[in-house]
Amino acid sequence: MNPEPQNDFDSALEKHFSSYLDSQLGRSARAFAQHLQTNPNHRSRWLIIASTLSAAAMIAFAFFPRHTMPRSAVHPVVTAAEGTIEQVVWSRTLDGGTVFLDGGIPAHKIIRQQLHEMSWTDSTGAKHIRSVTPQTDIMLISLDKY
Amino acid sequence: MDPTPREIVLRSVRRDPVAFASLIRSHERSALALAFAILGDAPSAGDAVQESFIKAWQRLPELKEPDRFVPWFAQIVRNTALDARRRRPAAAEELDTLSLGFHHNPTAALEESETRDRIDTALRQLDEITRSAVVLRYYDNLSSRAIGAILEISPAAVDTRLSRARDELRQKLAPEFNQREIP
Repeated sequence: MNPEPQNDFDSALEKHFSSYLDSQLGRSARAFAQHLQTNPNHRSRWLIIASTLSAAAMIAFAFFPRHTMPRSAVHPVVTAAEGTIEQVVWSRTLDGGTVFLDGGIPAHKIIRQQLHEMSWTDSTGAKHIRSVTPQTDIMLISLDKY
Repeated sequence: MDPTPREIVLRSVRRDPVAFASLIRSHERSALALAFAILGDAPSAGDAVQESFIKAWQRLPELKEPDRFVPWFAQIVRNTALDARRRRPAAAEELDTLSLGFHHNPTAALEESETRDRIDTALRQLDEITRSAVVLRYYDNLSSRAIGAILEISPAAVDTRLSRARDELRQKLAPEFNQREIP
């Protein structure tokens, strides 16, 4: 039996599992990259670029008058005997507006979206593999009530 | 031409990290579904899956049949999740009730939270294999054949379990869905 057409029940279950598990997607790829970085056998083949914005920077971005920050990208390239590995991190920070926490406390919601793009091309340029991992972080900053 | 799944496994066995990264991307959702069905909370499932992929990378040279990668890896995930479940305190033995803690509409938030709790409770009452089949179907949208390969049961057995699970869940989650249900 293959997946059936959508109905309320199916949609509710899909939404239920996604609400729990989507936040975990991408963790394994990052852990594996970290594992390779610390493993001497592969250290020379990989360069892991940690493209992270500090919380302070994110807060500063969130209070810019624009609602959407421009995309930024880092293009590090490592050449190894076996080929070329390139990792690019696309990120943008969105202003999610004001939300209310339990108890009616207002908070500013900041959404950071990232796309970790990794590609490998062999030394002859004949073979190419590309992987893209999305990641979304949500930050809440409580606001004073007046 | 894109490499076949078998070629990707073979390249991973030959210690190609980019091929293995591709395997992670292909199997992460099903691994999370399987670990979540055993552990019941998302962060622990994420931990177990992360650990399982590292174990798989280290043990890949032991994989004699590349076509058996799926059940082989599923067994690693299952064992890792079961170990994690044995290690953790009994108090944590329930499905995650993580809430984002904010909502534009408090009434909707409450209803959503109650629905989540009811679904969690109903899922806990399913046996582990059936619960795994349900999460694999609804989180990764896998066919019965693919679920059967992961759980090492026949597609027909997957169908039977899913059908029973749906009936049980619909019954337990009534009246939320029964009146709106498509027969």
